[in-house]
Amino acid sequence: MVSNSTHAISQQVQNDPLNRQQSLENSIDSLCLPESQKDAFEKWLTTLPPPIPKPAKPISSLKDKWELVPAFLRVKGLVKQHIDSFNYFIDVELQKIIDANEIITSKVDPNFYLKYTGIRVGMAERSDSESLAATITPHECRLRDLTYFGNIYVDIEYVRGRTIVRRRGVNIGKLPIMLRSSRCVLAGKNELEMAQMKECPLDPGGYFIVRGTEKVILVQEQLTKNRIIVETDKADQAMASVTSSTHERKSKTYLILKNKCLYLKHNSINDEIPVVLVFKAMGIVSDKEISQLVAGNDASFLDIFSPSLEEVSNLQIFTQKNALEYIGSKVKVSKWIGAEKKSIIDEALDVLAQVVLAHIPVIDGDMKPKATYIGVMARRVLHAVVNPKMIDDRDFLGNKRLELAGQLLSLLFEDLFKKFNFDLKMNVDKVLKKPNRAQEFDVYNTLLCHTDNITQGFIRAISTGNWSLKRFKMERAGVTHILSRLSYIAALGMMTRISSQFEKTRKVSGPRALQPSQWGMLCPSDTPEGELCGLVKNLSLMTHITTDDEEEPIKNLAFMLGVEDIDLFTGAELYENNTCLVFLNGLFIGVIRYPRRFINLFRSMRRMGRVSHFVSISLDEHRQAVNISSDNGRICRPLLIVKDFKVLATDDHIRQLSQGSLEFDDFLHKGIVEYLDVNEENDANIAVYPSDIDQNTTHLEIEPFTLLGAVAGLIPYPHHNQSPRNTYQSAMGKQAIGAIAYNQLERIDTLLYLMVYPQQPMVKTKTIELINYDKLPAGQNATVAVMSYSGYDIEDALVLNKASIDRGFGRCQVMRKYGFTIKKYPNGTFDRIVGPPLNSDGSIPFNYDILETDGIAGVGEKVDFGQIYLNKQVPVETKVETNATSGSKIGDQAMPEYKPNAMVYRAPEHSYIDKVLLTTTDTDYMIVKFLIRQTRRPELGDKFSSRHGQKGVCGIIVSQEDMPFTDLGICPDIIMNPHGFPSRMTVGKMIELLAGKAGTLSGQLQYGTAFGGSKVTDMSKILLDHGFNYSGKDYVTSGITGEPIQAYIFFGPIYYQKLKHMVMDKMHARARGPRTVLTRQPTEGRSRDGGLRLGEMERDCLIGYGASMLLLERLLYSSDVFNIYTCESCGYMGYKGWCQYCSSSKRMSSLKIPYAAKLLFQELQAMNILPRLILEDI
Amino acid sequence: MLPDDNTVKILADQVLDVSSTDHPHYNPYGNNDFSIQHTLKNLKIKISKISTIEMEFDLIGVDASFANALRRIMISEIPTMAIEKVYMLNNTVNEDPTDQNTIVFKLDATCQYRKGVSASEPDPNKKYINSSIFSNQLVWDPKGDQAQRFTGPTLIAPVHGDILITKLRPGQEIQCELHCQKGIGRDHSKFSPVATASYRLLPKITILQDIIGDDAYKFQNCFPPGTPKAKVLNPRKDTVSREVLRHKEFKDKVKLERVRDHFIFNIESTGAISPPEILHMSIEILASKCQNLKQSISSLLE
Repeated sequence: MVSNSTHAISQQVQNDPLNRQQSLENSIDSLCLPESQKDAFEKWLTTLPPPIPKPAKPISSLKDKWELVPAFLRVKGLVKQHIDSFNYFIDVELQKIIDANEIITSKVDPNFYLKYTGIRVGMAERSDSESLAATITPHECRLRDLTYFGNIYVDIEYVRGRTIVRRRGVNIGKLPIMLRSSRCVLAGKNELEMAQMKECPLDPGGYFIVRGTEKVILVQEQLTKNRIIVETDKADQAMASVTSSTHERKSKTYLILKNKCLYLKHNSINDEIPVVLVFKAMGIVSDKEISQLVAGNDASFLDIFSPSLEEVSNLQIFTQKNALEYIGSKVKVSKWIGAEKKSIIDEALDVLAQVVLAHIPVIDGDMKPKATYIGVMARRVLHAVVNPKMIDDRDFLGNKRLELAGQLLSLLFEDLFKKFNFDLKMNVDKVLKKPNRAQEFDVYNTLLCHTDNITQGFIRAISTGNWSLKRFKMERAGVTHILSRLSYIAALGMMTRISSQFEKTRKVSGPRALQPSQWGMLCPSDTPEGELCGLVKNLSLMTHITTDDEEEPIKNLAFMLGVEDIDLFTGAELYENNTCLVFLNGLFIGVIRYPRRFINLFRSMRRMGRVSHFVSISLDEHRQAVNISSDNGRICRPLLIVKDFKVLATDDHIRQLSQGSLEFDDFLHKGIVEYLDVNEENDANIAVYPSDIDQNTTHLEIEPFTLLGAVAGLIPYPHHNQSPRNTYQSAMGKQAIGAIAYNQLERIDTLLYLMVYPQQPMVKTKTIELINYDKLPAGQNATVAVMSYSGYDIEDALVLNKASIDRGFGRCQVMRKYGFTIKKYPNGTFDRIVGPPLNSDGSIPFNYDILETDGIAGVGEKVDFGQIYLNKQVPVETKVETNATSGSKIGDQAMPEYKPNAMVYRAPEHSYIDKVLLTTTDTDYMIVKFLIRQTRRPELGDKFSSRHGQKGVCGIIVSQEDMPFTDLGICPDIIMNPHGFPSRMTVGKMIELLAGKAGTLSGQLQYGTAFGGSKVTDMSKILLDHGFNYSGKDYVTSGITGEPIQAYIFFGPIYYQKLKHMVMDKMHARARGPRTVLTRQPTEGRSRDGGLRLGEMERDCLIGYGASMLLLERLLYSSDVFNIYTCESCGYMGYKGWCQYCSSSKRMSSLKIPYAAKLLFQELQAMNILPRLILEDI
Repeated sequence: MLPDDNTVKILADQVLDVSSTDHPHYNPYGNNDFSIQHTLKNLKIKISKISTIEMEFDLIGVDASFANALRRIMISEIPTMAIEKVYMLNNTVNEDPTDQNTIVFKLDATCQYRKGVSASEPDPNKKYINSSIFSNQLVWDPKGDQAQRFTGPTLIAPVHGDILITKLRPGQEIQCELHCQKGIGRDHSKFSPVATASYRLLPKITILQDIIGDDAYKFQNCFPPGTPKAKVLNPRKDTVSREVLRHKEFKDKVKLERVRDHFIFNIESTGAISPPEILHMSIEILASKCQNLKQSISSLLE
């Protein structure tokens, strides 16, 4: 019956597509009120009482509610998510992985088994533990190029002979330990203990140390797993897709609309399968039942679904068996030879049960839940057809999950562990296969042999950043990065960075655009410019990324609160008008009649602490669904709860918080603050300020400035700046030279920039205090005069005061590491370091002058260009002599021959030896590390920047007496050209100057916190009170003429950063120099003393101008001129006065061509192409 | 437009009549012959404040160029002694210093545990001896006849004894020779004898109309305390904040000016040379420069 009626409808639809559209619109219109009723409605509205007015004054001022931010940062946020995720991996996920792969059996001996019963990770330990205590500090690992790892211990139970043996604490490998995690020696240490371990208490942690380098596993952004996402495909047709992810399998299932019929598409099935057929294969054979599962009792949906039903009926497939056969014939057959042959029906059943939508469990072959789920998917597609607004936004943050170090490591560990077990099994089989064994087989010994695989697997993955997982055929590069230690902010900024999986080459703007749902979760300012713009993001100050929570208790709670189990329903009842579907982590668990009441109950349970605070529940009104999420990687943030105009938190709570009698978690337990994820935020009504609270308000923002991240939080008054300026500063703040860590002078890094006198900014922000930028600053408060001076200040150039530089402004130190290993060779020889050689008169030659008698330069010595700082020698013969007889020991006794391999200092500017470190690696190689220091004062061309994206280079350095001075005799440190302001619109910089000036006068630090901070009027008042002009402009006298300057000058302190780009590192010129071997052209680049390229465009200019001789000089004589001799008769190149081809010396002539051209001719000849040089007289 | 009087006009948004014209003391209405006698007759110096490190005096009746020349010389051309070379224990010496051009200080300090102090003492000053090295630990080491030459009330020593040089911990020591040389501020600011030397022009406030009632109090509040009181008491105290020009009610009622040839000079010495001496030396240097110029010109004319 059903199929017949739908047939008729679809015929009609096919005949007239316009008509269908019409009927749809009609049906939508019919929902709205007719005109006459509209007026009545309006009239009725006027009879209602006016809306309740806002209370005149907020009940509680909560002036200090920002105190919650530091309290939050003590327990969560910034880098804590890395650490939480790592701890979760160690404590929970490892055990889960062990449980999933707990047993190893042998095909050879059915009695044999090995079972893992438990797993633990020990504290970080030194691997060469024969010496000293076993604990190792991260600092030692950094200095000695070691890996900071701890042992993985498992408890095992296995068969040895006829007995079952249990062993506890078997080491199966080593796991790199995240700094500050629960397995790190730094966990829970106070400042003094940190100092004893030479560790900086302000260092964020959250990274790994692998072979001496600090590595960060960046947060990875991905599309959410196990959720239905409705999109449009290339043909602009609606389609639903689900990425199923389980421990065993990752696969993507599509439901697509094609020719008005619904199809299921999956990688393991060759063809698109009509969705009705899938239902039938799953045991739902009746068309009525199928249409109810998809369309419910809604006639309009039924209309759209009917073609799909019809198509299958045309195929003459009616039974489950038929359907399975159809599907089975299209299943991709696995090419694995060992696989057992299955019937087509079994094949289809297997695929449907285990591969398609793998995340929905099929228990005892019951496919009803999966069929219902497909029904929901189909319904979503139909919904999107009816109403295009129902298409999901892929870029919506609620559809994203962030993958942290813990999850990535757990994927890696599972892979390595499976490989480990597989290898172990192969080994066991090999041994057990042997008929007679000399001794009883003990698998424990075999197990110990394999431990290196896991250790090396981790080290390789983290140090290269290549995550290759065989299970999912996943190959991901660039997962880890070296922690940038350019400045404290650079390191911190790196820890909050999120990298997107999106391809940067694609030209779509969606993923790069600022999403409204990013509010408060991701920083709107901190993103790089250029190709990665918008793809690399940063966390805001108060975000937290969730870890997994147990599903089962949540499910039980839901059922107790009135959710009815899905198994009890048929399709018709699922989509009754008032019922809502309930999803738990994307799994359809049941329906609920009164969703609002259910959600409120659930929330109050959560606020009471009966379920985890990070479980989110929200109502999706458009899809008539309640979504409960407890999965990992959701972004969430805390908010104050508001009930009936009232913020539940009171001033009293806040006072207790600042006194320390309450902590942030107490606020959660009391139900005053709760975490909302992006999906639940959609269900909430959040007031930004207490004054905005009205009857609908459910939450209050803790502090609006937390919507910026740690790096953008440094900017004073960012809300007064043009938005891109804040983005520029976010990039530049990471290049500022300053203090790096309290242990900065203990570290030996490849390159370290340190400022000599860093200052905390006069105008700080709350964020600055929260992230300790005031303790590890990167910049100085410069007195700035905004005026034009000398003409050397155009295009953002700055004028610096020489006296300021003399007194230490902008002075920085550059430390560079030069490290060497003293190698040992297979033949028993090794490198050696010898003292300096002597001249015949007993003096030491100049280039050996700084060496001490041990052949190593002394600490504090000045190193000039060409001087040797490590007089190393390497043996001439390093290979093992193969033909040497075993008896001859002469070689060992005689001194091996050495050739010099001294390390020469080759930088243009002199330096000083700051430190020399002699130590060994874990493989017993000796390493020598030199730390070489340069102190630099600012010079012309050095780059400076304020905190408002206003960078500039030093254009001229002026002596103090030439600088303008105020009535008080104050000279500026920096003169900035006023043209920097109009187009940049960095008003924040002006306010910073004003607030800074007021602060210096009143002896206070002022605040420029975003959306708050010290007010301009207050600042002007302070200026006035101290006898200054209210606008910050001073009467200034010129230092050159001694007469007053006609304009009043905007004059005051602005925080300036010195950026790492310094002229000394870039300056380069050459007249003559090295050439490349192959082409004989000058080398490229400063590091190779290369030439300066006269490029194509320059060449074009010279051609256009007609300077042919200059062109010839630049491109030929100054480059790779070469003299060749050609034979005029045959055109070959020959010798001087002899043509080999013609065997004659008659007609040889010489000419100059580029060596590269000569090379080309010869290469062409080699491939059988003959270029002849035909010469003519002119 | 030529200035018609001797003042710089302070307006709300700009400063007018900043310069006198082409040559010093040009007066469009008066006698334009420049005569040194005339200038000297008009020149007045009044010292208003003086201490060991600071001095304020009024320099009246000279052109800005003259006052500025003095200021510039004070900052960059008066020589003082400052530490130029520091020889750590085993460094090599490049250039031979003599007792005529160098004063030598020695620093020799070793840090030790102070006896009888518990190991948990948090204050390093109590726990160790010599944990902080201050500038008063620099000891003058007279060379040649320096000991005889430099006797007197003030011994050769750093001006400030409480400058922290470095911090040490037990097991560390510092031993070095610090050579002071004569230099001028133009080479490096450490040689400058002044923290700063600057001047400002004497403010002149003219009340054009009477200000009465509440406005009078408001008017008073526009200036630093003690400057006006419905009539001008002490214009010297004005900081030129121009606050009075912001308010509509005082429009055309008050005129702010500064006297162009009245310089309130301020010398802040670093302590090495007393302020009057700095002034004296700067004048001497200026004079010798003039002599130089004069000689150069006359030799040019020959």
